[in-house]
Amino acid sequence: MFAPIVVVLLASINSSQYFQFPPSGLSLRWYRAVFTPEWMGPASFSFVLATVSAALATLLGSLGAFAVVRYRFRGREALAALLESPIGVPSIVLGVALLQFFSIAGAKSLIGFPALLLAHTVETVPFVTRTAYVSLVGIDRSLELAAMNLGARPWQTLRSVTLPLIKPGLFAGGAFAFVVSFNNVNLSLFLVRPGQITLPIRIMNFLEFGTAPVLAAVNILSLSVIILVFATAERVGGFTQFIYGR
Amino acid sequence: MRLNLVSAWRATLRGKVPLLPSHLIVAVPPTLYLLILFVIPLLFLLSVSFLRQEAGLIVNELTFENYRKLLTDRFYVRIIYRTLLMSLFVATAVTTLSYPVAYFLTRTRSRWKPLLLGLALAPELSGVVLRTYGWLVILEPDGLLNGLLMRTGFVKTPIRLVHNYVGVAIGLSHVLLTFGIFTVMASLQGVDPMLELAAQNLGANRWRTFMHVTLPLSLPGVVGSFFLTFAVAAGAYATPAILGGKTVEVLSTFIYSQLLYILNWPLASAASVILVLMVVGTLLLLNRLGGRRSFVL
Repeated sequence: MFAPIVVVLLASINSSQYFQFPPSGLSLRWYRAVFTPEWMGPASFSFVLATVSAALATLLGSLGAFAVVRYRFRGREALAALLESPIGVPSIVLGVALLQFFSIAGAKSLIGFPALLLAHTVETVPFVTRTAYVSLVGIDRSLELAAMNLGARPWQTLRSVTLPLIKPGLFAGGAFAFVVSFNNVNLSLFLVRPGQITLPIRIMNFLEFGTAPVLAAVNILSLSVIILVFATAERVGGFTQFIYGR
Repeated sequence: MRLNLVSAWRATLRGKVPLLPSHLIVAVPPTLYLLILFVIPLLFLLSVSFLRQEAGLIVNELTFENYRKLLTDRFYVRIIYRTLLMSLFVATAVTTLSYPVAYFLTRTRSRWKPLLLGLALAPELSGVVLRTYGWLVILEPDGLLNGLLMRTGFVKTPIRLVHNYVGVAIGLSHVLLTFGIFTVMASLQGVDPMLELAAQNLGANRWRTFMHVTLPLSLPGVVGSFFLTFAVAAGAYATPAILGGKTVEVLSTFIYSQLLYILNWPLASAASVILVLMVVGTLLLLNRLGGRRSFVL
């Protein structure tokens, strides 16, 4: 199961131009090649995109989950279905649809970062919604009642009781949203433009002309970004609490 | 929802309520977002699929021509058929492989369980491009596996493992394995181990217990895993493009080239609609076979 990742890791520190096993020598030369604008440009572009998209998705997803869990209104079931539905449509179809939509609606200038942000967020909202649902259903409402009983205004209760209780769920959803956006291929394919290109698409374009060890180093770098993001989310939000139960 | 919005708006205009009721404040932003950027674009796509394209320009004229072409011309039918076959194969392989792993991860009492769960989740984080690239390094003609096979003398010339459907199926199955494991696990966690003990107490052997108690109870997870992996495999682009090269054509790669190189939007749209119908059709079929609503939707 881990074979491909281990192979990539070995290939990235292998000194020769061709991949050999066992490696003939060790070197960090491929990593030096990564730290050039050619790769750091797309890498930082993807990082900013995934961060903003995860934040937007966390906002929209938690609002949606809050509406569905806490309120009873007409169309509540429809909203719940709508919030889940992006998972049910192949994302390549959504990519095609959005490219055509932006073009036909005269918003072709959005192609690039804005379009990528809007599209990735559609894809990531369901992830946050799900974790936010679970957190909201799981909290003890008497804590909120107690706060209000003690004179807290609704807004104050939300900020100092409800939000801290669902924080692990929101960070878990946000971290997954980051990963989905950072690794996304199917939507980005249609919405990148020269100069505004994501890392996975840059790698895909490079692969059309064959493999090179520098790609292994690029891939390992992108994996370390994700690990770093998860470590930060865990540090700040403690989301393993959410995954493994309290 | 919309009715509510309208009546609330009217009430506000008449000065009856000072503010929108609060469920609207939380419900409206995500609803609008998904309506504008998800529902409406998909409706656009649906309508474009019924338009005619002539000499590179879209003509404002309704037609079933795109669908007729895709569903009768042998060239296109083969693409659809191969996509279906490949996705069915991947879904079956992934679900079969993930069941034992999921069973172990659910039932293990090891204190390393959190670590094992983390390890099972880890590949999912590394992204489809990285893992597919890893398989390319392994499966290439001058790659790891062929080198190993030739050195040990199993084969004389490299076997072709990439740029065909075998490579794509291997790559996709691996990419989706984590997905399968966690879907099956979600369902297995709901199966009370006491029921298994009860069956064994009543004289059932392990095999019978599994077939008559565990498997039926975890069936929603199996169906869910099958459906999810089928849906993702059917729409996957990166793995067929990287491991399949120019020789593998599935719906996703076909849609991509029609849209961006051939610039035939109506045909690309119709192919996208067929892809969605394939996924939805599988879901309906699985729901019917399962006899109850599946785990997923």
